[in-house]
Amino acid sequence: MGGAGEGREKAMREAAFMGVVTASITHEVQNVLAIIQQSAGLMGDLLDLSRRETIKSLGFRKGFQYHDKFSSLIAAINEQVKRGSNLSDGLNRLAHTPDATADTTDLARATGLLFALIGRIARKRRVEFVLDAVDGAHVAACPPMQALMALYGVARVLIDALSGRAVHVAVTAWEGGPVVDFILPEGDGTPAIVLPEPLCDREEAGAPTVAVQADRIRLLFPPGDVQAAGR
Amino acid sequence: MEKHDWNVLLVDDEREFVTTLSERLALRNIASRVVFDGESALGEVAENPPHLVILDVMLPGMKGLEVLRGIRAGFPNVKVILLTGHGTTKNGIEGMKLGAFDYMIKPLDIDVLIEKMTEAMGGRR
Repeated sequence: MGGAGEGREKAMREAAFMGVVTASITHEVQNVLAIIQQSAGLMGDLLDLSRRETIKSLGFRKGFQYHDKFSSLIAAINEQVKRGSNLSDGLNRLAHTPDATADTTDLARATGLLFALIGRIARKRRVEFVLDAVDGAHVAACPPMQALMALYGVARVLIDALSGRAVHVAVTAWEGGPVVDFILPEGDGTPAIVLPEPLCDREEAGAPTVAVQADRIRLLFPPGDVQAAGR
Repeated sequence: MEKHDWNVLLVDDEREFVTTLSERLALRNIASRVVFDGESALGEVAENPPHLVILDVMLPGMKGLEVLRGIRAGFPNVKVILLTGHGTTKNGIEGMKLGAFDYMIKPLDIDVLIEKMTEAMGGRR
């Protein structure tokens, strides 16, 4: 095996290691969140009970004066549990990507996953990605990690170029295969978008074709079998 | 609050989670026993068969799906609801093929769990 091949294999082993460790940690995080959620839930239950009766052992008296404040705090905890759970879910799916043997990707799911994961990076630059409603599965003959990297490559450039703007993203079917369109904001002040060359390795099977158009950046993927969609 | 005449076994190695869940069920008039591993779960089921088992799939030692197989083999009338994490939903689907009533993803909403339990019990209170 040549140097490039060995380097690639090493990178794949490292990605698989990162994936296994990260996936395992996300399971732990889900358990932590589940405990916080149930504990907050129990506090809420007892608080509700205190509306009806005194719970001496907890120092709750009927008509507890901070009832509403406590209720809103418990609701805030539950909201944060939901937020953490969504993040952990996204991280878990990302962590499992390197070990996916699938050679197809559902682009709607991959795009949703990417935006869930890079939301914070985008927010720091005040960029918002709005994923338009997707009709059904749009499967590309492209391995999940490769698809994610291509999508991230475009998103990263837009985050750097379009501070304070919203970018609509549409996943649709097109002649020749499924596409992901990053629709550029209208109006003055939208800078010309220059993508790095190459955005992805065109030698790799499944690599998308990238087209920078006046109103959008389009990734055209080779079509995949809907039945065999990996993620 | 209505009283449920259910015999429920909760199985999860996350002690804080499962004991708190048990307390919350008790506040809703649902009595439950708690065990923390698969071997104890099978022992409890054999000794005093419950109507319903809430079973985590990611147990240390004997895995949740092995416990499920054991329950289904010896006590086919016992209903089982599996608890999975987001990344292990395939275990939940596999479990349903093995005869689990359903699976739920942690963290879970207790009201949704009780709805699912009611469904599993065929509406029996």
